[in-house]
Amino acid sequence: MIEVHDLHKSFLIRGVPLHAVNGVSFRAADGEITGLLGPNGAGKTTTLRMLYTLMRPDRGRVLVDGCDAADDPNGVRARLGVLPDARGLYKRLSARENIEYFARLHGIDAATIASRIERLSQALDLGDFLDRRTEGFSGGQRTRTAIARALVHDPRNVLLDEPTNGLDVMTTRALRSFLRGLRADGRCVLLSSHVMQEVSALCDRIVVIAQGRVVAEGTPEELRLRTGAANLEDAFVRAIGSDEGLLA
Amino acid sequence: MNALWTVFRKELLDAFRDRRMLLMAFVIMPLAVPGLLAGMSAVGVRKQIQKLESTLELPVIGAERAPNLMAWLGSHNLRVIAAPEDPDGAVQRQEREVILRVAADYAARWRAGQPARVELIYDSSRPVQTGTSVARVRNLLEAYSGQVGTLRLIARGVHPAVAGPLQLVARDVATPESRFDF
Repeated sequence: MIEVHDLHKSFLIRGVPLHAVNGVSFRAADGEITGLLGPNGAGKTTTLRMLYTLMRPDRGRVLVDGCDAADDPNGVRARLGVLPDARGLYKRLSARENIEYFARLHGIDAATIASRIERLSQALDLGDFLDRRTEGFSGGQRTRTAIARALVHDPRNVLLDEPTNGLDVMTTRALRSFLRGLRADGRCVLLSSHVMQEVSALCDRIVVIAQGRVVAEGTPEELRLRTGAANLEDAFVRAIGSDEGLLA
Repeated sequence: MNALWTVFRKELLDAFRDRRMLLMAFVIMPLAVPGLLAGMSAVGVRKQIQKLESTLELPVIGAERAPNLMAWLGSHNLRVIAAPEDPDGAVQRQEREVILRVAADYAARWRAGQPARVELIYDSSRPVQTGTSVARVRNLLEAYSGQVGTLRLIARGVHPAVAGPLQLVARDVATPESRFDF
C-alpha cells in the first residue's frame, strides 16, 4: 500500500519558483491498479520520483507499507519496484546482466536470482533477447526488461511511469495482462499515464492530477458520474478544468 | 561494501564492452603516453642546454670591490649587471634567479691572504632551471678560487700538487644510447 500525504515540490528555474507538485494526496491500495492521470507537465513524474525516493519532497509524507520515505528510504526502495520514465538500462550489458545487477544490489543470492530471472523471463517473454545487449532493443523489449528488473526483488508495490509509452498494440495488451497478474497476486500497482484509454482499460482507481494538484479521484465510473460526462475523456477534460492542458 | 563491489564489477564489465574506451585505454594511451613523456623531457633538456649556453646575467652587489673577479666572470660567458635595491626580495619575487654579494671587507681580506667572502643569494625551492644558473655561478666561483689558490702556492714556492693529494680521474662509460637524452 502506498500513501501520499500533502506532497509539495517546487523547482527554481532561472530564479523563478515552479510549483511542480502542489499538495498531492492519495492512496493506492493492495490488490488494485491505481492510475495517475494527467496532462503532460502535470507533476506525475515528479510525484513518482518523490515516491521512489529519488527526490526529497519540500513538504508532505510518503508511506510505503507504513514505511516512511523520509526516515527509511532504503526500506521504501526494498518495498518498491520501479519502472522509471527513462527506462535506464545499461546498454552494453545484456538484459540478464541488467536484471542480475539490480538483484545483487538488493542483496539477493545467486540461486534465487537465477530462479527469479527464469520466472520473469517466462512471464514477460524475454527468452529471445535475454542474453543480448540491450543496445538496439525495441521499445517493447526495453520496457519488458526494465519491468523484469523492477520486479526481481519481488516487491509488494510496483510503480510504473508511463509504462505503455511507445509500445505497439500487441505489446500493450500483453503488458496490461501482466499488470493484471500483479494485481491478482495482491500487489499494489501504481502507474502514471496521460493516455485515457490506458487508464480506463486498466485501472481500478484513477487519480487525476493537473497543475500539481489532485483534481479528481475515484473509479472510472465514479469520475464519469461525478462530472456528468458521457465518457472518461470528457470527464477528464472537465476535471482538469479546460482542454488547454492536453496540448501543453 | 557489497553494493560497492557490485557496482564496481558492473562498471568494469560495462567499460570492457565499450570498444571506444578499450581502444583509448589499450591502443591510444600506450602510444600517446611515451610520446608525451618524451616530448616533455625533450623540451626540458633543450631549455636546460639553452640556459647553460646563454650568457647569464648576474646582478652583483659591491662589484667594484672585486674588479679581477668580475673580469674573470665576464670572460666566462657571464655578464655582471647592477644589483636591485632589495636582493633577497628580488629573488623571492622571482625577478632574479641568483644574486652575488661581495662582502665589504673583501678587498682587505684578499690582500691579507685571508678567505674573502662572497655570498650567493638564491631560492632552492624554485624550478630546476634556476638550479642550473646557481650551479653555473657556484662552479665559476670555485674554479676562480682554485685557480688563485694555485697561483698563491706557486708564488710561495710550493708545488700546487701538495695541495691536491688525491688525483681523481672520472671515467664515464656512458654511450649516447644508454643516456636518456634527446
